[in-house]
Order: sequence, then structure tokens, then C-alpha cells
Amino acid sequence: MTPILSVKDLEVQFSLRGRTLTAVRGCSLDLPRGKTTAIVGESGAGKSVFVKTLLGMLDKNGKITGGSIEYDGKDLTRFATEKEWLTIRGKRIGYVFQDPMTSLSPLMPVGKQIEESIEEHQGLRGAEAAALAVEILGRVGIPQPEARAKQYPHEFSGGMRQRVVIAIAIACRPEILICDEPTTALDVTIQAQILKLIRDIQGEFGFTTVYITHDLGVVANVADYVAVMYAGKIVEYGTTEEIFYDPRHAYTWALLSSLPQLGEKGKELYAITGSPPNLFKEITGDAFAPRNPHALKVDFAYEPPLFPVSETHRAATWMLDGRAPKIDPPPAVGQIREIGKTPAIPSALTPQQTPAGKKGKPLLSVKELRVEFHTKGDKHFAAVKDVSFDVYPGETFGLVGESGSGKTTIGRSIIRLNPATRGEIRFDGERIDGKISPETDRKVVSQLQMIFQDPMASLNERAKIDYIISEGLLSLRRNMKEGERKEIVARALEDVGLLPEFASRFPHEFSGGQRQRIGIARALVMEPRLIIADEPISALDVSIRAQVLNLLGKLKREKGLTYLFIAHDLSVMRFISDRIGVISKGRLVELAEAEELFRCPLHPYTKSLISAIPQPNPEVEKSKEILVYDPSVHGTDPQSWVEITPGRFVRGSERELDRYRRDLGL
Amino acid sequence: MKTYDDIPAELFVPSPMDRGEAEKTGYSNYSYWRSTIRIFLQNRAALFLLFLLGILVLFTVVQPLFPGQRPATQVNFDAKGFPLRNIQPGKEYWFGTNAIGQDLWSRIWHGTRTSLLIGLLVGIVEMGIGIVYGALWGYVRRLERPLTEVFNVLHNIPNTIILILMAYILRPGFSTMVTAMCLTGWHGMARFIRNQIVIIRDREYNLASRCLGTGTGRIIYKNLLPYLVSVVMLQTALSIPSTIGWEVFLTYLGLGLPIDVPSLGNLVNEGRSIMMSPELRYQLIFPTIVLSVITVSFYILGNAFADASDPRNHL
Repeated sequence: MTPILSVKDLEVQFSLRGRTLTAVRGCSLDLPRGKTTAIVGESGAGKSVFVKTLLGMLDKNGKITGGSIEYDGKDLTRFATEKEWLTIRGKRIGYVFQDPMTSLSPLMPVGKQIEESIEEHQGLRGAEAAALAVEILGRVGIPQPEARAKQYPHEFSGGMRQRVVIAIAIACRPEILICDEPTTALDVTIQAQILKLIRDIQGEFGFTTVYITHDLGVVANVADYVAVMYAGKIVEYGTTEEIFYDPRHAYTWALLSSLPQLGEKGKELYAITGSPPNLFKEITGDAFAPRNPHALKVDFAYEPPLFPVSETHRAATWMLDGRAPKIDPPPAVGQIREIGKTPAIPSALTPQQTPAGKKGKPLLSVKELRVEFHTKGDKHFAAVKDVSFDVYPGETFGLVGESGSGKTTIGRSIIRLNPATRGEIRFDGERIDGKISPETDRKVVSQLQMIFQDPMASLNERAKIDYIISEGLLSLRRNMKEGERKEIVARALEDVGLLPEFASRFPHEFSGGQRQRIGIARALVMEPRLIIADEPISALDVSIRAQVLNLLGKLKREKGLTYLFIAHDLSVMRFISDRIGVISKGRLVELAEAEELFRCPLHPYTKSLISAIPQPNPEVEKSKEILVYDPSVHGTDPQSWVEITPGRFVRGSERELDRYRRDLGL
Repeated sequence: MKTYDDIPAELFVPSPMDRGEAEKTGYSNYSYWRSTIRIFLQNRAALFLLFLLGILVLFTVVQPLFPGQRPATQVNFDAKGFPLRNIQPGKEYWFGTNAIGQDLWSRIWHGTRTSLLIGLLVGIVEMGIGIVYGALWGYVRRLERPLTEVFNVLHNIPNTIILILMAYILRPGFSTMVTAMCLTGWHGMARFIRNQIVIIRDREYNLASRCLGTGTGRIIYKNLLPYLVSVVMLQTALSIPSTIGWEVFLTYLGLGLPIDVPSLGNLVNEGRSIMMSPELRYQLIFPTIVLSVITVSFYILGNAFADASDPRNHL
């Protein structure tokens, strides 16, 4: 079959701060007609730049410095003017970008925005275009399309907005649809719906799709072919089955092995050391070699060509050369097929060791917490309503929910950044909400610490690492000697796997994963007992996540820490948490031991969340069914928060609780 | 396909892994100030003006030390004892003399010195008050309400009224002038700092500092102000020409410095009063040129610096 678009040896460079950055280093890729190709890679791998080149949308400081893009008998790299690009972009190659907030004009009704695209590319006018716009809106799953077409983007939710963006992209019937992380900004349940929508309309319209994503679960769901990109190069290419079940490149191995779904509770995840390379520098040999435990000497000296594995499968690694010794992939890679099939992930801990089952007094106890925010005038908005839970010493308590569910607010109100409106928070038996004595304040400051989500925003850019790490000590122990402080900083850096000489540097010199570890070190020097980790890995790349998860696990074992782990990613939750609380619209709906929750979810919201988890296993993912949660199933009966079996809580009306009891076989 | 048979076979052996090397790969050596200076230096016009302004300021300082300079307030007489009034610019008096026979060359440099000093003093005081008031206003929530009210009251009194009252109550002079302008000038700076602080006060690194028990003072000093250094420098640079402008305006109103203290304000004012006679117009033109050069240079330099200090331009 001839490819619809064919890229040969593409090289793209940017001039940045007076230096040259090679973002794409000789990529070749054929897009099979009517199929879906996914490009996976970490941030900075060059995947976005790669597709922007196909659309002629490079930033002004970037240029194509080599290679060709064959499409429809033309070489797109020879296009010089915007006018030439406009014959292709939007018309024959449509695109959907990551953030639906910024892809739509806030000043125009969405129907008009679709009409514009139709008028521009299909030559229809007026009423005809308007009618088609409404039809397409209906097609992408927007209810009451006629009424909704007159509304503005701010009246739509994130998922609905992304549907509108898709409607605009397909309105002109493109041959190729490029989706750049189309679901990264969305919640998992919405993500599953959007992916399904794109797949359905692809079948109907018959276009070729290109996905860019860092999420292997998404890849498994949508892709027919996968290209793995690392440091500006495609290192492996093949059908989805070949990439997932028979990977050949060490980087693909590492990516797959570090999935939390493959982890064993209580043991370390497979982690890739270090960070992706700096593309300003000339790269000799295989860019992954310095981080590759299986590296051969030749990897550092010569760049590997793409060796064919099968007709469709190619990998750029010297391991496939006849002279190379035979190296087996890490054992975890062989278990990909099992993901999502076995009900429980294996645990390295014996049942007695699991810290569940109430052991002693809770370290943190939250009772009927309510947090309100003032909006304009006298109105209040309650972000958290009547939330109660206990966290016991030595456990990891997970709080999982979608964006806007109030999970971050709970964390922040425990650490006293957002005051509680009602209810009480006790730490080690003492109330810490409202006004507290200076002694309790000192105790809470040192024993209760937080790790933040965004490593780029959570470090003071204008202070040295030395200051950042010892900041808490400066106010806690005012008469500390300089030498002692330096020693503590050096020890904390070593604890998180960084070199002590990093202390004299500034945060901007570090990569995201390193910065997150500095954030952890900053909390550690306070010698806390409870750490609130607010989405600590969601802003990190796949290869870095495992490092940070392992570090948190190691610190828990060595220092006996307790975590309140807040996240939206259920597969990470399952790996790291002992007990999980599921929160929806400011209320806890279910709380259970992690494996128990996955084995037998009771609340319909929990069920829909679990059904929507992207599983990085094509066999499971392609056939999975998504349950959609509809809050109206609860009816109007009063709902209550009940301990249904010891240690297991669920929210529901009397009738629902009876049903849940039956589900549990009581 | 190209063959790779020439690669020596002994390279196909496992290579031990170096942890340090793997950590190093993500290293970037971007530096905010280095990039700012580099972008600034790329702007030729700004560099030229910086050079020009430097020379000008230096010259006003060292001018009295040159040989043959006449004091700015000295009235010059000819051989017969008559004052040399309104002498046209020439060999002896480079910029001519004024209506009572004072050397305009000396007066202009002395005046520039006075005006720049006022500008600089007022700029620094405004910056000081503005930073303290603005930082407390923006960061300490308990003070937000009272400080807003105080600001509203003070800011709504017209500046001219305050300045006129000050000039009536105190004796007109250099210190009165500086005090009066400081009293009114800090408003803009305080509000500017406040707005900047409100933008960054809830960033995660500030929340982190609060979780670590860092006090308000240290958060302002270590977390907030370092982010504002470049914009504050810019605002201060821009306030210097506007202060000089105010000085000229006040002198025009008759509330400026006494006539025996030359400043750009009263030189321009003197020149303005005799503007209608073409042969005397040089008395207006020379001080105006100096004033314009200073004002325009500060503005252009300020804007060049603002562009250079914006991280979005650090490409």
C-alpha cells in the first residue's frame, strides 16, 4: 500500500538564545492510508515539532534544514509562502491541539467558528454552511446542536470544547487529521469518550490519523502503527502489537517496564536513570546510550541505523546487528499482555505487613471538613463538602478524583493554606484547623510537609538550591550553625539521589525530575511524619515518574513516612496507595483498601473511573467498555456516608447501600 | 542499504553505565541576567543612547573643573563695566548669555546637574516607599483593605494641589521641591509593585515557603522582590525623566526653584518668556535640546531594557 504522506530524513533546527537546537534529527516516517499512527515520546523528544513541520507551523526561529515531506506528489519542505501552506493546512491536513481553551476564539459562537472553516475550505455559504455546521456539531456528540451552535466557548466544558475543536477540524473533510495530545488536558472519563469519538468519525470519514502522545494507554487504545521518538529521532517503528509485545529498542523496553501497572506493591519500579539529553549539543552515537543499562560500546561511537525486524517493524539499535551479544529485554516487558487482565497486581508484602486494618491511633483525622470560597458578592462556593477520613501512621492514603473535585483543596486545607470553613482536622490528636498555639504551629510546620505538582513552578528561581532546601530550617531552628546547615543540605541531596555539589546552583539548571527531587529534599529536611503529595508526578515524563515514585517508596521504608497522596491517575494510585478515597464534586463517594477497590468497586462513579483507565495493553484497551457515570441514578433519596464493612466506606441512599451490601455478598 | 561492516567488532561489548553521566544529560545553563544583558547589548540604538547619556552625566559632573569655566550665577561685565546682556552664542560665550549677563553654557550644565539630581533623588525615594508600601499591600492580606483605602484617598488628591500647597507652606528651594515630588510620586510605584506581587504571590513556590513556615518578611525579601528587580529598575529609570518634566512644569507655574539655583526648569521657563524675539531664541533652544536628549534617552533605554528583561524575548 502506498503511504498517503511520506517523510524522509527530516531535520529541523531552531536558533535559540544564539545557539542551534536540533529538534528533529533525521526522521523518516510513512503514514499508511486510512490508518492511525501514534508518535510517542517524552517532552522535548521533538514529536510536536515534527508534526508542526508537516503543517508548516514552525515557530519563527525554526527552519527545516534537511529531508523531504512527500504529500500528493509535492514536497512540502519546498513551500515558501503561507499561501502555499494554506492549500494544505486545515484543508487537507486538519489538526486538533492539546488545549481546547486556547484553540477556540472566545469572542465567536462555536457554530460560527465551524462555519468559517466550512466557508474557507468547502465554498459553501450562508445558510448551507450553517446547516452543515449544526450537523457536524451533532456528529461529534454535542447534544442539542442547534441551540449549542449559538453559544460561546466559555459555555462549554473542557471535553465539549475539545469536541468543537474536532468538529472544526473535520468540517473541511481533511485527508489527514493530526491530534497533538488531544486528551492530555482532560479527565480520564472524558478522555476515553474523545478517543472513541475520533475513532468513530475516522471510520465514517475515512481519514488518516496521526496522534502525538506521551501516554502509552492512549497509544494502545487508538494506534495501528507506533513510532517511538527519543531525542529528535524515531528509534523504533512498528505495528502496535509489535511495539507492545515485541519491542527491540532499549528505550522502548525502558518505557514499557517503568509503567506503574507492571510494578509490584512494596517493590521498586523499573526506572530509567538520568534525564533526556540536551539537544543543543552534538549527539554522537545512540542518544539513549548514557541512560541505557544494556548499552554497548558501539552505541557511544556510532549512530545505529534502523534495522528491519519484520516487514513493518524497524528499530535503531546496535543490538540487532549480527555481531552484538544477545541481550534479553527486562522481564517486565514480557508481562505487558497481562495488564488489565488480572484483577489484582501482585504484592510483595504479606497480608500481615500491609498497614491497612486500623492500627492504633490515626495520625491525621479529618472530620466533616467543608471548605468554601467567596465568589463575587455574598455567594459562597463549597469546594469540599463533609469530607471525613483518617490516615494511619505508616500508610499511603490516596485521594483520587477528577479536576475540580476538590482533592487539592483538601490537601491545602490540611496544610493550612486554605482555611477550613467547618469541620475539624486533627494531627496526632491535636486540632490544627482555626487558631492554634505557636507551639502547635511549630510542630505542624515541621511534621506536616507538602510536595507540589509542578516542579517548574514550585522552586524559587532566584534562590540557590542550598537556600531552597534549608529554607524551612532557617525559621524553625534560628540558631543553627552554618556548617551544620550545609551538612544537612548535602545529606538531603544525597537522600534524593542528587550530587551534593548541586547545592550552589540555581533551579533553572535542572530538569523536571531533578527539580521534583529537590522539592522532596526541601520537605525532608524538616523531618516530617506526614507528607501531602499533591499530584507529584503528573507533570513529569514517563521515564522520570518511576524515579520519583521509587524515591517516595524508599523514603517511606527508610524514614517511616506517611503519605497523603493526591492524584487523578488511578494506575499510579493502585501501585502506590494502601487505601484509596474516591472524591467527586467535593464529596468522598468511596473509601477502601486499594486492591479491594479495584476488585470490587461499589459506587457507580468509582466504576466509571476504573473502566476508563487507559491500559497500555492493546488487546485489553481496544476491546474495553467504558461506563459513563450519570449522577441522576442516585435519585432524590438522602445520601449518607456509611462504613459498609470494617474499613470500607461508601456514599449512597438506603436503597443503594442495600444493593452494595448484596454486591459484597453480605 | 549502507553497510556498517567497517565498525570494529570489538565495540560490540556491553559498556558499564555511569550514573553521574546520566544525571548530567538534562543540564541547561540558561541564566536570566546573562540573557537580559545579551539582548540589551544587541540593541544598537539603546547602546548609543546609553553611551551618550553616560557622557552627558559625566560631563555635567566634571564641567566646573575644566579651566576657564565661569560660575553659573556670576554676572559678566564688559571692559566698561556694563553687563554683557543677551550676547549671541560665539567664541567667548559658547551658548551666549542671558538677560542679566550670565553665561548660558555654565548655567545649562549646572541646571542639568540640579535637575538630574532631583530626578535621581526622587526616583530612589519613590522606589523605596513604593516597594515597602506595595509589597505590604500586595502580600499581607490583613493590610489589603486599609492600605487600599489610604491609597485611594491620597491618590485622589490632585498632585498639583499638593505641590502648590507644599510650595506655599515651605520656602521654595531644592529640598522643598524634592519633598513635594516624593510625596506625590510614590503612588504609581506602589500600585505597580502591588499588582506585580498579586500576580506572583500564589505561585507554588510561595505556597511551599508558607508550608515551610517562612515568615512574611523573608518571603517578600527572598521570594517576591527578586522577581521584580528588572521591572522596578525600569520603572525607576522612567520616573527620572518624568520628574524632570514635573520640575519644568512647576517652574512654569512659578512654584519652582528660585532663580539663583539654575535648573533645566527655570532655564526653559526663562527662555520661554522671550521666545517671541527671534534673535534671543537660542536661550530656549539650548536648554530644550539638553532636556530632550535626557528625556528621550531615558525612555528609549527604559523600553529597551524592558524588552530585554522579558523572558519571552530570551530566544
